Amino acid sequence: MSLIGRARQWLRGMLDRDGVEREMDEEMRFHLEMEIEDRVSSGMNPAEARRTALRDFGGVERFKDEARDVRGIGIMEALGHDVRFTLRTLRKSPGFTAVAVLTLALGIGANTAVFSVVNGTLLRPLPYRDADRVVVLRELDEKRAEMAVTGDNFLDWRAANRTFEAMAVHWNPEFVPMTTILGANSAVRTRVTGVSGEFFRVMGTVPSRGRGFVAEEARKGGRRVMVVSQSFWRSHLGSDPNVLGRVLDWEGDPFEIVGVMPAGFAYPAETDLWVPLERDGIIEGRAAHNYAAVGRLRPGVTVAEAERDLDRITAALKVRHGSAMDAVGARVERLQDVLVGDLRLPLLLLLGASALVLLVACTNLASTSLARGAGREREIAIRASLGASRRRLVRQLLTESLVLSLMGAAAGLGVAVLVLRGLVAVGPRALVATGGIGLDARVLGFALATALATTLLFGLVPAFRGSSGELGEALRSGGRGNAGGHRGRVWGGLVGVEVAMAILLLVGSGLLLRSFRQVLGVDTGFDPRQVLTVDVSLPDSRYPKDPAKAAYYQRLLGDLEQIPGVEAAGLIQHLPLGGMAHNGSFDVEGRGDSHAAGVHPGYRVASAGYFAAMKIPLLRGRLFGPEDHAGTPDVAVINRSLAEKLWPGGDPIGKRVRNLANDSWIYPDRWITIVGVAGDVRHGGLLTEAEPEIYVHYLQRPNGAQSSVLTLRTSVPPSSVVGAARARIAALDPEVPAEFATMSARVVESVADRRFTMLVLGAFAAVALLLAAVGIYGVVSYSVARRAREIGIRLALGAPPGSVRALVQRSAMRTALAGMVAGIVGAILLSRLVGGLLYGVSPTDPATFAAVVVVLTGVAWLASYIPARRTTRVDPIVTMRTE
Amino acid sequence: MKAEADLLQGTLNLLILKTLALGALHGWGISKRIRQMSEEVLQVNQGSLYPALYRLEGQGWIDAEWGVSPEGRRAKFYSLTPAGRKELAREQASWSLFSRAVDLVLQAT
Repeated sequence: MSLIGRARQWLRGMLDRDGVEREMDEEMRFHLEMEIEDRVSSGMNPAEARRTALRDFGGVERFKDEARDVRGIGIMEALGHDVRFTLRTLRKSPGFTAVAVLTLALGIGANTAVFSVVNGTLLRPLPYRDADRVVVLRELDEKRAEMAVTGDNFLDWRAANRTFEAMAVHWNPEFVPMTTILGANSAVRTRVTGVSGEFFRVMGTVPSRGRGFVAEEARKGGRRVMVVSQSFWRSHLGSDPNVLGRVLDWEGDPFEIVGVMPAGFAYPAETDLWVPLERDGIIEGRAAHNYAAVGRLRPGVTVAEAERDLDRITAALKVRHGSAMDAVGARVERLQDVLVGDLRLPLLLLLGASALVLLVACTNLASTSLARGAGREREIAIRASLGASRRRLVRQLLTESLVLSLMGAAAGLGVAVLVLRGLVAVGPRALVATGGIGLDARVLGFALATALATTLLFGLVPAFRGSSGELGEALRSGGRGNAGGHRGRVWGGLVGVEVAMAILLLVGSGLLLRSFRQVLGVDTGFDPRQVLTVDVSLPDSRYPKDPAKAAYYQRLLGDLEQIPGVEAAGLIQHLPLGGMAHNGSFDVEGRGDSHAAGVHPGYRVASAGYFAAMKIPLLRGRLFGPEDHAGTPDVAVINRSLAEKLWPGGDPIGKRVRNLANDSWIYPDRWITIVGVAGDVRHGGLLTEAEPEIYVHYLQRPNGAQSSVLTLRTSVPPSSVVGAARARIAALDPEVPAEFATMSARVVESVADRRFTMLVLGAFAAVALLLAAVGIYGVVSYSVARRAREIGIRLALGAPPGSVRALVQRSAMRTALAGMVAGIVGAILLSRLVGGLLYGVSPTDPATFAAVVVVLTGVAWLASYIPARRTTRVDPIVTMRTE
Repeated sequence: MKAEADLLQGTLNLLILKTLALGALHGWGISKRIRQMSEEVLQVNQGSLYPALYRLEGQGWIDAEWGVSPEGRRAKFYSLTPAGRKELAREQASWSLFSRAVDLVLQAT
């Protein structure tokens, strides 16, 4: 009954608000009139009766408010009123509104963007069915180091395991060169990956058109079929609805398209085409680590259980096969963890940094609101004395915070979209490869939650300060007074905290910046400046034999050298920092296999021009010359490391080797004479020490030359010759696609992870610095406004304007300095966290700390100087008169 | 101030219900009757009266209806519902118990 009654009352209040209001007014009026009449009839004169009745009646508005609360209409009604009132007030102080919304937008925007990235990589499952059951399998050697998987071990794993629903192998991306596909709308340079029959089942993804591979295709000598990616289908097959049955030419063989994968499926990375791996047969043996393996766990099986299972099988196999097998165990890892890999630490660091930025933003808002609250003391005091209840005032102030937060959240979302685009643009490939980084509902929820949390954080403090018992005092002092002791201290504290956090972020990004410069400054052994690289893959159907490929390259190099501005043109099969690396041992004349000496040099197929283009110095002997070509005795250039390893203190020139593991099946027993020693080059990465390498001549051993990189040293900006180079390549053969990049860009790309972390942290530090500056500016402006009278008196008494300015500025600088000290202590304590991301810089690098202190002192000084200068414009007469 | 208001609220409900037990009345009439019956000791603040009336109405103990006052003016009249009558009996009983207990304590010298 009571509930129904209440509901009815509330409903009426909601639906017929005006009616209820009218009735309430009428009832009050009636009451008042009766009261007046009563007093008149007891002998009072009418005017007196009205006056006293009104007095006794109390604040009409106030108890109507209470009555409204009881009626339940209060909340919605008052909220609407509060929001309207808030919008009006905010419009009246556009400066404060702009600062607050901008601060929030930056704080929330940065947070949402970073959270989106973390969400898209660390938190959100990959876009595969039950993605948490998809794992990567690896073999372990006796040192527990990871190795790729061998064919025979895989087959035994698949047969004997008890924990997997399905298992598949695919070609190891490190060994799969880019290749040119013909038969699409144009010649396409892309990557084909062979996958075993269960692959798509393991990945929990079925083609969105057509089908995966069936049993008679996934077997030795099966039909030539292919599954293509969604993006390949769209960009290179024109989204052809009749794509199934179309035939593409790969390595000179026709492959029929049987399926199109759904959007977002990109595994292994950069693969556009999948073919059945079993067609060529799974390579036998237990020491040839050719494959990457993936598996789908049975429901309820943990990664650890699966790992124990495979470990047990592998150990048993090792006992049976002995020295024919090098693996002793197995490792199982979730695919998602593998993909995120090295990004985990930087991403968590960035998450922490974005939290700091948000904290700085909130601190800024708290102090800005505090200043505003102080400026509005008079207004609030007046409203309180007119009968506004304390609860109502608090609610009003909270509404203001909420409206600001929501505006900030909306603006922040816009900022987030922009920042996210930037992040993905500068982000390393692994970040993009996980796919599906975008703002989604969860991220939106996060932004809103941040906005609400912010409201509570910064809205409550001024709300309670503004409405606490200091009202009378506020009225008496006329909202002016002097610096405002307690509040000034709270505020100073907030600004100090901001400065401290800005220091943390600045030190962190400063250290990363210095590391990055150190990394880029590493001596790689080649000079990447003024080098253009051209990736070319020759289609087998047009150049079926290796000599035909070599002849093509020889002509192309000749053509490219003719381009004005090109000083040297060379060829290499695997460019340094390119991610591809083949190596293997060989026979040294009179000494046997270099394997015995533990030497497995990198195998490079190159031309003489390569050394010139990359400025790799020749230390001894000679490079390949015009006298070396197919048919003349094979020659090779080795690098210094190899020379020192095999012929320490001796002269390698004239020594002979043969049967290189990488090409011995093509050129068995053919001796190679070493004719030169070149400088070392860091092939694997900027921070990977140079390894022994042997360069063979591309005309003599064009093994696998179908995919090569041409290097052009230019006297003009390298990108300016792209057009001419493209024209020459097209003139020679329009069916050969080429990709261009400068070597400098490839160097930077190879450290994209670092650059990403550095740029983002740097951006955060800049935002934090900006916010801290705004905070300091706010404190000083406020204090100038509050102390206008005091300043006026000082000026009137003859104090020089400069000294008054310094007085105001001094207290702000003291706060900033205290914050800096706290920040530096914090930075030293936290420096170990970033230690793992640094290179060649100590986590407590004095130069970085000094630079940060200088920058922050400068910014703090400027941020306080600008408002403090206003003191000199205070007119003593005017200030005194306003009293 | 706040504690007083709370105390009053409990008794105010009882006073309103009791006043209405004698017949329907408008808000001003209720406050006047309480004043008269208490020999001017109990002054009902309008700020408490109307919220209390709305609350009682919401609880279903009293009904409100627009009518015409003896002076010929439109006014809102409140009357006791059957549920309100039961509530009055209940509150009256507990008040008697309470005041007798307080008296006993005060008289024990």
